[in-house]
Amino acid sequence: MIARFSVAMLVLVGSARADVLLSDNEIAQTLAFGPWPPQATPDPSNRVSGDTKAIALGRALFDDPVLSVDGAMSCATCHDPQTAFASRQTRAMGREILARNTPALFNLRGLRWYGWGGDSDSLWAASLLPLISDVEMGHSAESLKNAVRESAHAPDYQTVFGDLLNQSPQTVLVNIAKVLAAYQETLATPRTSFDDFRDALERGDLEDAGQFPQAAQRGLQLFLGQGNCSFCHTGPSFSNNEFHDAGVPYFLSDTEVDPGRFDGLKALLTSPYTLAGDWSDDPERRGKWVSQNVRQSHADFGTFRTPSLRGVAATAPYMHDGSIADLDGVVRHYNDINLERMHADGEAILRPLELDEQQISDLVSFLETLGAIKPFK
Amino acid sequence: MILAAIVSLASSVSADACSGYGEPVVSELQGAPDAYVIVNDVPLSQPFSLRFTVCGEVPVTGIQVDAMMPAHQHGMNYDPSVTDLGLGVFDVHGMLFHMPGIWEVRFDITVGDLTFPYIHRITLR
Ligand code: HEC
Ligand code: HEC
Repeated sequence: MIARFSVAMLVLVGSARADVLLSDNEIAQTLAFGPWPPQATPDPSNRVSGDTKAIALGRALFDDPVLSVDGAMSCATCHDPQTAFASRQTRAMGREILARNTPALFNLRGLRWYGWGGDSDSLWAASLLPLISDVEMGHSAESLKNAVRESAHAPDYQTVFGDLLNQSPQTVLVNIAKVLAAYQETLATPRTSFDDFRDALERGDLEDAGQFPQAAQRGLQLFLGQGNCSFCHTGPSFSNNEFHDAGVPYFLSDTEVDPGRFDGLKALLTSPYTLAGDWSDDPERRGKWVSQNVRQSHADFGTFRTPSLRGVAATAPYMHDGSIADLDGVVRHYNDINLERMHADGEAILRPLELDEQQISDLVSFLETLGAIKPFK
Repeated sequence: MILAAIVSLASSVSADACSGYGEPVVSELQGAPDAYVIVNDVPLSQPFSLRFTVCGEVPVTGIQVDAMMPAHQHGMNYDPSVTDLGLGVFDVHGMLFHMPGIWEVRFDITVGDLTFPYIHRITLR
């Protein structure tokens, strides 16, 4: 009886193993893309991080044109909850056409850098910049304070931060940015079929893991191997959060270029809104090493922050300038990458991949398992 | 591994003082003092620390630490900071490897008029 049972188990395990295409080494690499969701810890530089009332106020403000000087737009105008908090436009349309594509706003808690060029080292600073940008919300600290004071949000603001009238406009500006950040911290991509696959591999449950589509498994193998994708798209969010030249042209027009990280770092190093500065609520100034020790280099020119690939199927178009319409196009971009066009020195990883049509479609299938996001709200 | 430890013990009287100070680090330069490095788990794309120890009573007057990926021809995006703990022991903070692969950590120590370079390789998954 016992003997027969173990024979049956063996057969089962044997066939399940056959459905998992990954080698032991590939399985070990795959485990590093999880677990998901990551543990959520509050942001020490933002005293209202995780505060329910602040989150509710942030959610209400995110959608309210009162945050723009003339009521022309809200954060949600570009970061549309119906389209994964991104926008279908290639480059964002503010008061003029902006240089870059609107990114989705998921999984932003606790990153080292924000923005395509990394001009902020905290989520609240990244939320403050559009408030005072001339080509976005267009407020000054003073006009924002007046607008909040006269708005229906004033009582909720005072519940969270106390008497608004006695606060300096700068304080109100930073406080508004911090409730917006508290809200955005709650936006996270859900678990996907990839996470079930990865966790099954971790448990050693090959039968369960074998349910993951074969095309996506082949795509994952390419992602780890021939595609070289996992050099930069690493960890649970599929991003190392650093800056690279992925071979996307950086011309804005015939005469203008987008310097990417080069300008991002210049902006960061002159910004009062960093984790090293007075507006951080953390007495220990944790994270200050980031802006204090970051290196400036000519190689930063034309590099952009590696985007997370969680939920990527929902956030077309792609790249910092929205120049690639779909995931098939992104994979073809890497496949046929034009080394002549690389502008940063020294990134000796990207080269034409020589994938055939089947492999291109497998890699796209894999990217799709990282989640399509349903409309929010 | 064991072989390396035995060789360095044999080649230097001061090695005893350094036992338990981690893995030996090599210098291509003859006459370089024995040195050891302690690195625990290196996390990908997160800051980590390491400890560098120069054996014997060598008067180290300067130390520089950096790292690069020989295959990709790029270094780290952050400057590490070094704390001199005395007696030839240095703590290095704020190292950050933002890509998997082979990294070479380079220590340059100044002793009098001489600079001794050491290379320590770390392979990151
Ligand atoms: C006109 C369109 C537009 C509006 C309005 C807008 N954004 Fe953005 N947002 C963008 C673009 C474009 C970027 C990328 C900017 C860059 O990297 O240079 C961005 C980036 C961000 C980021 C960084 C995301 C990341 O992955 O690093 C955050 C956070 C953010 N916006 C929050 C907000 C908030 C909060 C508001 C309202 C106060 C807002 N945005 C209003 C277009 C917009
Ligand atoms: C050298 C680091 C690096 C490698 C290797 C790399 N990427 Fe990227 N990836 C980036 C960067 C940087 C961007 C943004 C580039 C830009 O906008 O200019 C990006 C953008 C993307 C995007 C667009 C995401 C969005 O939201 O716009 C996708 C999808 C993507 N990569 C997938 C892949 C795949 C698949 C591979 C392997 C074939 C790969 N990447 C290899 C760094 C890398």
